[in-house]
Amino acid sequence: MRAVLKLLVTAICGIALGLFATWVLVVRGAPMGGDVGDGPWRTSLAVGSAEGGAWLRASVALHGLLALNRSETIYYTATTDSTGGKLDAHCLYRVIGRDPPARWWSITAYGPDDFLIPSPRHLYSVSMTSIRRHPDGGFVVTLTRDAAKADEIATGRGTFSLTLRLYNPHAAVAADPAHVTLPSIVRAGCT
Amino acid sequence: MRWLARNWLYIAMTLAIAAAVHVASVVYLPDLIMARTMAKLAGAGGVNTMLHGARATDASRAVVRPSPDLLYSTCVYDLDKAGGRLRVHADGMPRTYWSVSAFDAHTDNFTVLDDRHARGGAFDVTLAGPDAVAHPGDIRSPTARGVILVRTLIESEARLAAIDAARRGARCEAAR
Repeated sequence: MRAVLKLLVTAICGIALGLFATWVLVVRGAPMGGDVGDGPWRTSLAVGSAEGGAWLRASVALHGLLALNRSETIYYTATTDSTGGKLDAHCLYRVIGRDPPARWWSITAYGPDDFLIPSPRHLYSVSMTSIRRHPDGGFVVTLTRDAAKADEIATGRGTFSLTLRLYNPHAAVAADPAHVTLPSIVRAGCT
Repeated sequence: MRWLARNWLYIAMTLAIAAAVHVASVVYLPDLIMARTMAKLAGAGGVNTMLHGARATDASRAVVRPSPDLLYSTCVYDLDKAGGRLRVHADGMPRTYWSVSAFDAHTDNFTVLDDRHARGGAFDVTLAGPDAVAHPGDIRSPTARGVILVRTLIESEARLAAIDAARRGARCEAAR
């Protein structure tokens, strides 16, 4: 009887530990992260394909289902600013850069639930076709919880993440995704 | 130490079960999520029918991390119910970036084409099931069920109505 009880406890503990590991490593893992870093941005060229293995596939299913493979689109995700601080809606950030090397690009903010962040003016993203550029070709996007005008993105009330989509990326991106010139994310102050 | 020596077998079994459960859950999670998403996307429209979704907002909950700059049309397919082959086509897609991609039941994106491959905004592709007799040019789907996703870029807000109307010409149906 005592041995049966021990076996039962063993099975329950094993199942709980296994599911907890999945929760920590996949469910609570970085959204659409990846094995390649470029400043605050992370990506994986195996997104959308069977090459990435079970862990990446599970992570993409949870945090970026129906993502395209690298022949069509490369996705970079940021959960931190350029100094490594976690993106937090209590702070204001500036995303500073130039057009990334792609036919079309966009930057979109998502809440911890991986959905768009509520914004009365629907200021969820900026893109190559919506952004206003400076005379030198550069742009500045403001990330703020009270986004109210063009070139601003709403960040909600807690932590958030950014996805940079590169549609039809130039060949150099897939060749060396860690050394693409991507926008920096600069914290401008916190409340 | 004596407790460890007495129970090492149970501890080893716990760790072995944990490893097996972890691997199994990671392997099957995508299939579960895809099945749930396919049920949600098919909704009242059913399978083997192209549904043209509204622009994503913060209220959208069908698929995680939607892009508000794209319009999504989806066809949840079941090749068994389509007689083995499914035709996906459109004649007048708008003059903007668009792509047609197919995802199998394991979430893998096994084919994609975009407006650079099309002439005059037209595309016409046929998926064949894993065990179906494929015709020349058919694309073999690794699984009988999956999702076809048409992304259409909202190039400018001024053209939104025209782009939305044009992408609604995309269809999916059993191939004859």
